[in-house]
Amino acid sequence: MERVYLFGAYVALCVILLRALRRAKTLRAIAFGLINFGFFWAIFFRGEPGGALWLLRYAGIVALHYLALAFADARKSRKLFALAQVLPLAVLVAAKIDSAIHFIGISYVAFRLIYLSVEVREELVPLPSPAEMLAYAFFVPLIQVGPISPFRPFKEALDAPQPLPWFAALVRILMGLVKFRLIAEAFRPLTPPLLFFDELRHGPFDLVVAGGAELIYLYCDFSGYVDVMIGIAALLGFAVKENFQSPLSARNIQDFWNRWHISLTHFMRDIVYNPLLKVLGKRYKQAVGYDQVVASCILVTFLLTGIWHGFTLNFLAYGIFHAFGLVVFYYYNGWLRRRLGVRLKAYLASPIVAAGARILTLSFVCTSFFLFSLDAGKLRELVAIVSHRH
Amino acid sequence: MEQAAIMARLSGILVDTIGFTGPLEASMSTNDFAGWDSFGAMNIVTKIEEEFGIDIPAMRIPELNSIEKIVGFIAKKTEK
Repeated sequence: MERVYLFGAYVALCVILLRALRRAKTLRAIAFGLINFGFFWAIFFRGEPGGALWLLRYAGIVALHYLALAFADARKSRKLFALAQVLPLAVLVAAKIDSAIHFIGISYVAFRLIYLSVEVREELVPLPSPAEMLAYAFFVPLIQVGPISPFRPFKEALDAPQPLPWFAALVRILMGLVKFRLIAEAFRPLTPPLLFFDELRHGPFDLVVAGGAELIYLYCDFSGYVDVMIGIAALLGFAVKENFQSPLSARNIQDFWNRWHISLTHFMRDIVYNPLLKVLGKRYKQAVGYDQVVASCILVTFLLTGIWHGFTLNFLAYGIFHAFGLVVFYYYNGWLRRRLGVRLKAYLASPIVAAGARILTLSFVCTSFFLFSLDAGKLRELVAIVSHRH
Repeated sequence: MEQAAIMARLSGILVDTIGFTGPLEASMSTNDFAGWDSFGAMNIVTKIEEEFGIDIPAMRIPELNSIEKIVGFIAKKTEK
Protein backbone atom coordinates (compact mmCIF):
# COMPACT_ATOMS: atom_id res chain seq x y z
CA MET A 1 0.00 0.00 0.00
CA GLU A 2 2.87 2.32 0.83
CA ARG A 3 4.07 1.95 -2.74
CA VAL A 4 0.68 3.20 -4.04
CA TYR A 5 1.02 6.37 -1.94
CA LEU A 6 4.56 6.85 -3.17
CA PHE A 7 3.42 6.53 -6.80
CA GLY A 8 0.66 9.05 -6.03
CA ALA A 9 3.18 11.49 -4.52
CA TYR A 10 5.49 10.95 -7.51
CA VAL A 11 2.74 11.77 -10.02
CA ALA A 12 1.57 14.84 -8.06
CA LEU A 13 5.08 16.21 -7.67
CA CYS A 14 5.97 15.63 -11.34
CA VAL A 15 2.74 17.23 -12.61
CA ILE A 16 3.26 20.32 -10.43
CA LEU A 17 6.91 20.59 -11.37
CA LEU A 18 6.48 20.08 -15.12
CA ARG A 19 3.75 22.74 -15.15
CA ALA A 20 5.57 25.21 -12.90
CA LEU A 21 8.79 24.95 -14.89
CA ARG A 22 7.27 24.74 -18.37
CA ARG A 23 9.27 27.75 -19.55
CA ALA A 24 12.54 26.79 -17.86
CA LYS A 25 13.75 23.86 -19.97
CA THR A 26 17.09 23.21 -18.27
CA LEU A 27 15.78 23.60 -14.74
CA ARG A 28 12.83 21.34 -15.61
CA ALA A 29 15.15 18.58 -16.83
CA ILE A 30 17.34 18.85 -13.70
CA ALA A 31 14.37 18.79 -11.30
CA PHE A 32 12.70 15.95 -13.24
CA GLY A 33 15.92 13.94 -13.21
CA LEU A 34 16.34 14.38 -9.45
CA ILE A 35 12.70 13.51 -8.71
CA ASN A 36 12.92 10.32 -10.77
CA PHE A 37 16.16 9.27 -9.12
CA GLY A 38 14.75 10.05 -5.66
CA PHE A 39 11.50 8.15 -6.21
CA PHE A 40 13.33 5.29 -7.91
CA TRP A 41 15.09 4.84 -4.57
CA ALA A 42 12.01 5.51 -2.43
CA ILE A 43 9.68 3.16 -4.33
CA PHE A 44 11.96 0.26 -5.17
CA PHE A 45 15.01 0.31 -2.86
CA ARG A 46 14.12 1.92 0.47
CA GLY A 47 13.97 -0.69 3.17
CA GLU A 48 15.43 -3.42 0.92
CA PRO A 49 18.52 -5.18 2.29
CA GLY A 50 21.52 -3.64 0.53
CA GLY A 51 19.19 -1.18 -1.23
CA ALA A 52 21.44 1.85 -0.80
CA LEU A 53 24.42 -0.06 -2.17
CA TRP A 54 22.41 -1.20 -5.20
CA LEU A 55 21.26 2.36 -5.85
CA LEU A 56 24.89 3.49 -5.78
CA ARG A 57 25.80 0.70 -8.22
CA TYR A 58 22.99 1.74 -10.58
CA ALA A 59 24.08 5.37 -10.38
CA GLY A 60 27.68 4.30 -11.03
CA ILE A 61 26.69 2.25 -14.09
CA VAL A 62 24.67 5.13 -15.55
CA ALA A 63 27.43 7.69 -14.80
CA LEU A 64 30.14 5.49 -16.34
CA HIS A 65 28.01 4.82 -19.40
CA TYR A 66 27.35 8.53 -19.79
CA LEU A 67 31.06 9.36 -19.66
CA ALA A 68 31.85 6.64 -22.22
CA LEU A 69 29.07 7.91 -24.46
CA ALA A 70 30.19 11.53 -24.18
CA PHE A 71 33.75 10.51 -25.03
CA ALA A 72 32.62 8.43 -28.04
CA ASP A 73 30.37 11.25 -29.22
CA ALA A 74 33.15 13.84 -28.94
CA ARG A 75 35.46 11.63 -31.05
CA LYS A 76 32.62 10.44 -33.34
CA SER A 77 34.21 7.01 -33.13
CA ARG A 78 32.09 3.91 -33.87
CA LYS A 79 34.64 1.79 -31.99
CA LEU A 80 34.22 3.92 -28.86
CA PHE A 81 30.43 3.73 -29.22
CA ALA A 82 30.72 -0.06 -29.39
CA LEU A 83 32.90 0.07 -26.26
CA ALA A 84 30.30 2.24 -24.49
CA GLN A 85 27.75 -0.55 -25.06
CA VAL A 86 29.92 -3.13 -23.31
CA LEU A 87 28.98 -1.96 -19.80
CA PRO A 88 25.15 -2.19 -20.10
CA LEU A 89 25.51 -5.42 -22.07
CA ALA A 90 27.75 -6.89 -19.37
CA VAL A 91 25.23 -5.81 -16.71
CA LEU A 92 22.42 -7.47 -18.67
CA VAL A 93 24.35 -10.72 -19.09
CA ALA A 94 25.57 -10.76 -15.47
CA ALA A 95 22.02 -10.18 -14.18
CA LYS A 96 20.77 -13.14 -16.22
CA ILE A 97 23.55 -15.51 -15.18
CA ASP A 98 23.68 -14.66 -11.49
CA SER A 99 20.33 -14.08 -9.80
CA ALA A 100 22.10 -12.30 -6.92
CA ILE A 101 22.80 -9.44 -9.35
CA HIS A 102 19.23 -9.34 -10.56
CA PHE A 103 17.73 -6.33 -8.90
CA ILE A 104 14.59 -4.38 -9.77
CA GLY A 105 14.68 -2.74 -13.17
CA ILE A 106 18.23 -3.73 -14.03
CA SER A 107 17.24 -5.13 -17.45
CA TYR A 108 15.21 -2.08 -18.35
CA VAL A 109 17.92 0.36 -17.26
CA ALA A 110 20.43 -1.62 -19.36
CA PHE A 111 18.04 -1.71 -22.37
CA ARG A 112 17.63 2.05 -22.21
CA LEU A 113 21.38 2.66 -22.06
CA ILE A 114 21.92 0.39 -25.08
CA TYR A 115 19.16 2.15 -27.04
CA LEU A 116 20.59 5.54 -26.15
CA SER A 117 24.10 4.69 -27.33
CA VAL A 118 22.76 3.54 -30.72
CA GLU A 119 20.55 6.61 -31.08
CA VAL A 120 23.45 8.97 -30.30
CA ARG A 121 25.82 7.01 -32.56
CA GLU A 122 23.37 7.22 -35.47
CA GLU A 123 22.83 10.93 -34.71
CA LEU A 124 19.11 10.38 -34.21
CA VAL A 125 19.42 12.44 -31.02
CA PRO A 126 22.14 14.70 -29.62
CA LEU A 127 24.01 13.54 -26.51
CA PRO A 128 21.61 14.17 -23.59
CA SER A 129 22.53 16.54 -20.80
CA PRO A 130 23.44 14.82 -17.48
CA ALA A 131 20.01 15.78 -16.09
CA GLU A 132 18.19 14.31 -19.12
CA MET A 133 20.30 11.18 -18.76
CA LEU A 134 19.35 10.87 -15.08
CA ALA A 135 15.64 11.31 -15.86
CA TYR A 136 15.73 8.86 -18.79
CA ALA A 137 17.72 6.13 -17.04
CA PHE A 138 15.58 6.24 -13.90
CA PHE A 139 12.18 7.18 -15.38
CA VAL A 140 10.08 5.59 -12.66
CA PRO A 141 6.93 4.39 -14.52
CA LEU A 142 8.88 2.25 -16.99
CA ILE A 143 11.55 0.86 -14.68
CA GLN A 144 9.95 -2.38 -13.57
CA VAL A 145 8.28 -3.94 -16.61
CA GLY A 146 9.07 -1.51 -19.42
CA PRO A 147 7.98 -0.94 -22.13
CA ILE A 148 11.54 -0.56 -23.42
CA SER A 149 11.44 2.96 -24.75
CA PRO A 150 14.09 4.73 -26.84
CA PHE A 151 15.40 8.14 -25.76
CA ARG A 152 13.92 10.09 -28.69
CA PRO A 153 10.21 10.05 -27.68
CA PHE A 154 11.24 10.61 -24.04
CA LYS A 155 13.21 13.73 -24.96
CA GLU A 156 10.38 15.04 -27.14
CA ALA A 157 7.97 14.70 -24.20
CA LEU A 158 10.42 16.24 -21.73
CA ASP A 159 11.13 19.19 -24.05
CA ALA A 160 7.45 19.83 -24.73
CA PRO A 161 5.14 18.05 -22.26
CA GLN A 162 1.75 17.36 -23.85
CA PRO A 163 -1.58 18.44 -22.32
CA LEU A 164 -2.62 15.91 -19.71
CA PRO A 165 -5.15 13.36 -20.97
CA TRP A 166 -5.94 12.68 -17.31
CA PHE A 167 -9.34 11.01 -17.75
CA ALA A 168 -8.12 8.54 -20.38
CA ALA A 169 -5.01 7.92 -18.26
CA LEU A 170 -7.08 7.14 -15.16
CA VAL A 171 -9.31 4.76 -17.14
CA ARG A 172 -6.17 3.06 -18.45
CA ILE A 173 -4.82 2.63 -14.90
CA LEU A 174 -8.14 1.21 -13.72
CA MET A 175 -8.32 -1.21 -16.68
CA GLY A 176 -4.81 -2.36 -15.93
CA LEU A 177 -5.66 -2.99 -12.28
CA VAL A 178 -8.70 -5.07 -13.27
CA LYS A 179 -6.55 -7.07 -15.70
CA PHE A 180 -3.71 -7.96 -13.38
CA ARG A 181 -5.49 -7.95 -10.03
CA LEU A 182 -8.72 -9.73 -11.00
CA ILE A 183 -8.57 -11.53 -14.36
CA ALA A 184 -4.97 -12.73 -14.13
CA GLU A 185 -5.48 -13.91 -10.55
CA ALA A 186 -8.69 -15.74 -11.53
CA PHE A 187 -6.82 -17.73 -14.19
CA ARG A 188 -3.65 -18.34 -12.19
CA PRO A 189 -4.82 -21.56 -10.46
CA LEU A 190 -5.33 -23.12 -13.91
CA THR A 191 -1.82 -22.32 -15.21
CA PRO A 192 0.69 -25.20 -15.64
CA PRO A 193 2.78 -24.53 -12.48
CA LEU A 194 -0.34 -24.75 -10.28
CA LEU A 195 -2.79 -27.02 -12.11
CA PHE A 196 -0.62 -30.11 -12.54
CA PHE A 197 1.26 -30.25 -9.26
CA ASP A 198 -1.58 -30.89 -6.79
CA GLU A 199 -1.22 -34.67 -6.38
CA LEU A 200 -4.47 -35.26 -8.33
CA ARG A 201 -4.78 -37.12 -11.65
CA HIS A 202 -4.60 -35.04 -14.82
CA GLY A 203 -5.29 -36.08 -18.40
CA PRO A 204 -4.24 -34.63 -21.77
CA PHE A 205 -7.29 -32.33 -21.92
CA ASP A 206 -5.90 -30.47 -18.91
CA LEU A 207 -2.99 -29.48 -21.15
CA VAL A 208 -5.41 -27.49 -23.33
CA VAL A 209 -6.95 -25.83 -20.27
CA ALA A 210 -3.54 -25.01 -18.75
CA GLY A 211 -2.12 -23.69 -22.05
CA GLY A 212 -5.11 -21.39 -22.57
CA ALA A 213 -5.08 -20.26 -18.94
CA GLU A 214 -1.35 -19.47 -19.12
CA LEU A 215 -1.92 -17.32 -22.21
CA ILE A 216 -4.70 -15.32 -20.52
CA TYR A 217 -2.82 -15.15 -17.23
CA LEU A 218 0.43 -13.90 -18.80
CA TYR A 219 -1.39 -11.45 -21.05
CA CYS A 220 -3.54 -9.94 -18.30
CA ASP A 221 -0.76 -9.92 -15.70
CA PHE A 222 1.90 -8.35 -17.93
CA SER A 223 -0.26 -6.06 -20.08
CA GLY A 224 -2.32 -5.05 -17.04
CA TYR A 225 0.79 -3.90 -15.20
CA VAL A 226 2.00 -2.12 -18.34
CA ASP A 227 -1.43 -0.43 -18.70
CA VAL A 228 -1.01 1.01 -15.18
CA MET A 229 2.49 2.27 -15.95
CA ILE A 230 1.54 3.72 -19.35
CA GLY A 231 -1.38 5.44 -17.58
CA ILE A 232 0.96 6.92 -14.95
CA ALA A 233 3.38 8.12 -17.65
CA ALA A 234 0.41 9.66 -19.53
CA LEU A 235 -0.60 11.53 -16.38
CA LEU A 236 2.82 13.21 -16.55
CA GLY A 237 2.34 14.00 -20.26
CA PHE A 238 4.65 11.26 -21.57
CA ALA A 239 3.24 9.18 -24.42
CA VAL A 240 4.70 5.67 -24.26
CA LYS A 241 4.54 3.29 -27.19
CA GLU A 242 2.13 0.41 -26.70
CA ASN A 243 3.56 -2.92 -25.58
CA PHE A 244 0.57 -5.09 -26.57
CA GLN A 245 -1.90 -4.78 -29.43
CA SER A 246 -4.60 -7.46 -29.32
CA PRO A 247 -2.10 -10.36 -29.36
CA LEU A 248 -4.92 -12.90 -29.07
CA SER A 249 -6.05 -11.94 -32.58
CA ALA A 250 -2.64 -12.67 -34.18
CA ARG A 251 -3.00 -14.74 -37.38
CA ASN A 252 0.58 -15.95 -37.63
CA ILE A 253 3.62 -16.11 -35.39
CA GLN A 254 5.26 -13.05 -37.00
CA ASP A 255 2.02 -11.13 -36.42
CA PHE A 256 2.01 -12.39 -32.80
CA TRP A 257 5.45 -10.91 -32.10
CA ASN A 258 4.31 -7.62 -33.63
CA ARG A 259 1.52 -7.57 -31.04
CA TRP A 260 3.08 -9.18 -27.94
CA HIS A 261 5.75 -7.45 -25.83
CA ILE A 262 6.19 -5.12 -28.80
CA SER A 263 8.94 -3.05 -27.20
CA LEU A 264 11.12 -6.15 -26.74
CA THR A 265 10.40 -7.26 -30.33
CA HIS A 266 11.37 -3.79 -31.60
CA PHE A 267 14.46 -3.67 -29.40
CA MET A 268 15.67 -7.05 -30.67
CA ARG A 269 14.83 -6.03 -34.25
CA ASP A 270 16.68 -2.69 -34.02
CA ILE A 271 19.67 -3.82 -31.98
CA VAL A 272 20.17 -7.45 -33.03
CA TYR A 273 18.16 -8.67 -36.05
CA ASN A 274 18.49 -5.75 -38.49
CA PRO A 275 22.20 -5.00 -37.91
CA LEU A 276 23.03 -8.73 -38.03
CA LEU A 277 21.02 -9.30 -41.20
CA LYS A 278 22.65 -6.27 -42.77
CA VAL A 279 26.16 -7.56 -42.10
CA LEU A 280 25.50 -11.24 -42.85
CA GLY A 281 23.28 -10.43 -45.85
CA LYS A 282 26.03 -8.48 -47.58
CA ARG A 283 28.59 -11.20 -46.89
CA TYR A 284 26.67 -14.46 -47.42
CA LYS A 285 23.60 -13.62 -49.54
CA GLN A 286 25.25 -14.74 -52.79
CA ALA A 287 26.72 -17.90 -51.30
CA VAL A 288 23.78 -19.32 -49.34
CA GLY A 289 20.79 -17.22 -50.47
CA TYR A 290 18.95 -14.41 -48.71
CA ASP A 291 16.29 -16.70 -47.19
CA GLN A 292 18.89 -18.80 -45.38
CA VAL A 293 20.56 -15.67 -44.00
CA VAL A 294 17.18 -14.45 -42.72
CA ALA A 295 16.54 -17.85 -41.08
CA SER A 296 19.94 -17.73 -39.32
CA CYS A 297 19.29 -14.20 -38.05
CA ILE A 298 15.85 -15.20 -36.74
CA LEU A 299 17.45 -18.09 -34.88
CA VAL A 300 20.14 -15.91 -33.26
CA THR A 301 17.62 -13.20 -32.35
CA PHE A 302 15.18 -15.61 -30.70
CA LEU A 303 17.91 -17.56 -28.95
CA LEU A 304 18.91 -14.29 -27.30
CA THR A 305 15.25 -13.40 -26.63
CA GLY A 306 14.80 -16.76 -24.92
CA ILE A 307 17.93 -16.38 -22.81
CA TRP A 308 16.92 -12.85 -21.85
CA HIS A 309 13.87 -14.30 -20.10
CA GLY A 310 16.20 -16.45 -17.99
CA PHE A 311 19.50 -18.27 -18.31
CA THR A 312 17.97 -21.77 -18.07
CA LEU A 313 17.31 -24.66 -20.46
CA ASN A 314 13.56 -24.10 -20.67
CA PHE A 315 13.95 -20.46 -21.77
CA LEU A 316 16.55 -21.51 -24.32
CA ALA A 317 14.03 -24.07 -25.62
CA TYR A 318 11.34 -21.36 -25.59
CA GLY A 319 13.53 -19.16 -27.83
CA ILE A 320 14.35 -22.04 -30.20
CA PHE A 321 10.68 -23.06 -30.36
CA HIS A 322 9.65 -19.56 -31.46
CA ALA A 323 12.59 -19.27 -33.87
CA PHE A 324 11.50 -22.56 -35.45
CA GLY A 325 7.91 -21.27 -35.79
CA LEU A 326 9.07 -18.02 -37.37
CA VAL A 327 11.46 -19.72 -39.81
CA VAL A 328 8.75 -22.17 -40.91
CA PHE A 329 6.33 -19.27 -41.32
CA TYR A 330 8.92 -17.26 -43.28
CA TYR A 331 9.45 -20.03 -45.84
CA TYR A 332 5.75 -20.89 -45.99
CA ASN A 333 4.78 -17.26 -46.52
CA GLY A 334 7.31 -16.86 -49.34
CA TRP A 335 6.06 -20.06 -50.96
CA LEU A 336 2.43 -18.91 -50.63
CA ARG A 337 3.23 -15.52 -52.18
CA ARG A 338 4.96 -17.10 -55.17
CA ARG A 339 2.26 -19.71 -55.64
CA LEU A 340 -0.81 -17.48 -55.34
CA GLY A 341 0.55 -14.22 -56.75
CA VAL A 342 -2.30 -11.73 -57.11
CA ARG A 343 -4.76 -14.23 -55.60
CA LEU A 344 -2.97 -14.00 -52.22
CA LYS A 345 -5.09 -11.07 -50.99
CA ALA A 346 -8.36 -12.91 -51.62
CA TYR A 347 -6.97 -16.07 -49.98
CA LEU A 348 -5.94 -14.21 -46.84
CA ALA A 349 -9.31 -12.42 -46.68
CA SER A 350 -11.21 -15.71 -46.44
CA PRO A 351 -12.82 -16.00 -42.96
CA ILE A 352 -12.13 -19.75 -42.85
CA VAL A 353 -8.43 -19.27 -43.60
CA ALA A 354 -8.26 -16.43 -41.05
CA ALA A 355 -9.96 -18.50 -38.32
CA GLY A 356 -7.73 -21.52 -39.01
CA ALA A 357 -4.62 -19.36 -38.94
CA ARG A 358 -5.63 -17.78 -35.63
CA ILE A 359 -6.35 -21.12 -33.97
CA LEU A 360 -3.04 -22.53 -35.21
CA THR A 361 -1.11 -19.45 -34.01
CA LEU A 362 -2.67 -19.43 -30.54
CA SER A 363 -2.14 -23.19 -30.17
CA PHE A 364 1.53 -22.73 -31.04
CA VAL A 365 1.87 -19.86 -28.56
CA CYS A 366 0.06 -21.74 -25.78
CA THR A 367 2.34 -24.75 -26.31
CA SER A 368 5.40 -22.50 -26.07
CA PHE A 369 4.16 -21.15 -22.74
CA PHE A 370 4.68 -24.56 -21.13
CA LEU A 371 8.38 -24.04 -21.84
CA PHE A 372 8.08 -20.51 -20.47
CA SER A 373 6.37 -21.38 -17.22
CA LEU A 374 8.01 -24.70 -16.23
CA ASP A 375 11.69 -25.50 -15.81
CA ALA A 376 13.22 -28.67 -17.29
CA GLY A 377 12.59 -30.74 -14.14
CA LYS A 378 8.93 -29.69 -13.89
CA LEU A 379 8.44 -30.35 -17.62
CA ARG A 380 9.68 -33.92 -17.14
CA GLU A 381 7.32 -34.29 -14.18
CA LEU A 382 4.46 -32.92 -16.27
CA VAL A 383 5.01 -35.56 -18.98
CA ALA A 384 4.93 -38.26 -16.27
CA ILE A 385 1.75 -36.82 -14.69
CA VAL A 386 -0.17 -36.54 -17.97
CA SER A 387 0.86 -40.01 -19.13
CA HIS A 388 -0.13 -41.35 -15.66
CA ARG A 389 3.35 -42.56 -14.88
CA HIS A 390 3.44 -40.49 -11.71
CA MET B 1 18.91 13.46 -57.51
CA GLU B 2 15.51 14.04 -59.13
CA GLN B 3 12.56 12.45 -57.33
CA ALA B 4 11.25 10.86 -60.54
CA ALA B 5 14.63 9.21 -61.19
CA ILE B 6 14.73 7.87 -57.60
CA MET B 7 11.18 6.50 -57.98
CA ALA B 8 12.08 4.71 -61.21
CA ARG B 9 15.15 3.06 -59.69
CA LEU B 10 13.25 2.23 -56.50
CA SER B 11 10.54 0.59 -58.59
CA GLY B 12 13.21 -1.62 -60.22
CA ILE B 13 14.51 -2.65 -56.78
CA LEU B 14 11.00 -3.64 -55.66
CA VAL B 15 10.55 -5.75 -58.79
CA ASP B 16 13.84 -7.58 -58.04
CA THR B 17 13.31 -8.07 -54.32
CA ILE B 18 9.59 -8.67 -53.70
CA GLY B 19 8.25 -9.07 -57.24
CA PHE B 20 6.19 -5.86 -57.09
CA THR B 21 4.74 -5.11 -60.52
CA GLY B 22 2.16 -2.35 -60.06
CA PRO B 23 2.70 1.39 -60.56
CA LEU B 24 4.72 2.91 -57.69
CA GLU B 25 3.17 5.93 -56.00
CA ALA B 26 4.67 8.28 -53.42
CA SER B 27 1.59 7.96 -51.21
CA MET B 28 2.08 4.20 -50.75
CA SER B 29 2.93 2.79 -47.34
CA THR B 30 5.27 -0.17 -46.87
CA ASN B 31 2.20 -2.07 -45.60
CA ASP B 32 0.75 -1.89 -49.13
CA PHE B 33 3.39 -4.31 -50.44
CA ALA B 34 3.16 -8.06 -49.92
CA GLY B 35 6.58 -9.14 -48.66
CA TRP B 36 7.68 -5.77 -47.27
CA ASP B 37 7.65 -6.71 -43.61
CA SER B 38 10.32 -6.95 -40.92
CA PHE B 39 11.79 -9.99 -42.74
CA GLY B 40 11.77 -8.51 -46.24
CA ALA B 41 12.67 -4.91 -45.36
CA MET B 42 16.39 -5.54 -44.99
CA ASN B 43 16.68 -7.11 -48.45
CA ILE B 44 15.14 -3.96 -49.93
CA VAL B 45 17.32 -1.72 -47.75
CA THR B 46 20.59 -3.39 -48.80
CA LYS B 47 19.55 -3.16 -52.48
CA ILE B 48 18.81 0.56 -52.01
CA GLU B 49 22.21 1.02 -50.35
CA GLU B 50 23.97 -0.72 -53.25
CA GLU B 51 21.94 1.06 -55.95
CA PHE B 52 22.37 4.58 -54.55
CA GLY B 53 25.72 4.15 -52.78
CA ILE B 54 24.34 5.30 -49.42
CA ASP B 55 24.20 3.92 -45.87
CA ILE B 56 20.90 3.44 -44.08
CA PRO B 57 21.42 2.90 -40.32
CA ALA B 58 19.45 -0.07 -38.95
CA MET B 59 17.65 2.19 -36.44
CA ARG B 60 16.30 4.32 -39.32
CA ILE B 61 14.65 1.41 -41.13
CA PRO B 62 11.41 1.20 -39.11
CA GLU B 63 10.65 4.88 -39.62
CA LEU B 64 11.15 4.70 -43.40
CA ASN B 65 7.64 3.29 -43.73
CA SER B 66 6.36 5.02 -46.87
CA ILE B 67 7.62 5.57 -50.41
CA GLU B 68 7.57 9.32 -49.83
CA LYS B 69 9.84 9.03 -46.77
CA ILE B 70 12.23 6.65 -48.54
CA VAL B 71 12.49 8.86 -51.63
CA GLY B 72 13.03 11.91 -49.39
CA PHE B 73 15.74 10.06 -47.44
CA ILE B 74 17.55 8.93 -50.61
CA ALA B 75 17.30 12.44 -52.14
CA LYS B 76 18.83 13.96 -48.99
CA LYS B 77 21.61 11.37 -48.78
CA THR B 78 22.57 11.61 -52.48
CA GLU B 79 22.56 15.42 -52.30
CA LYS B 80 25.68 15.41 -50.08
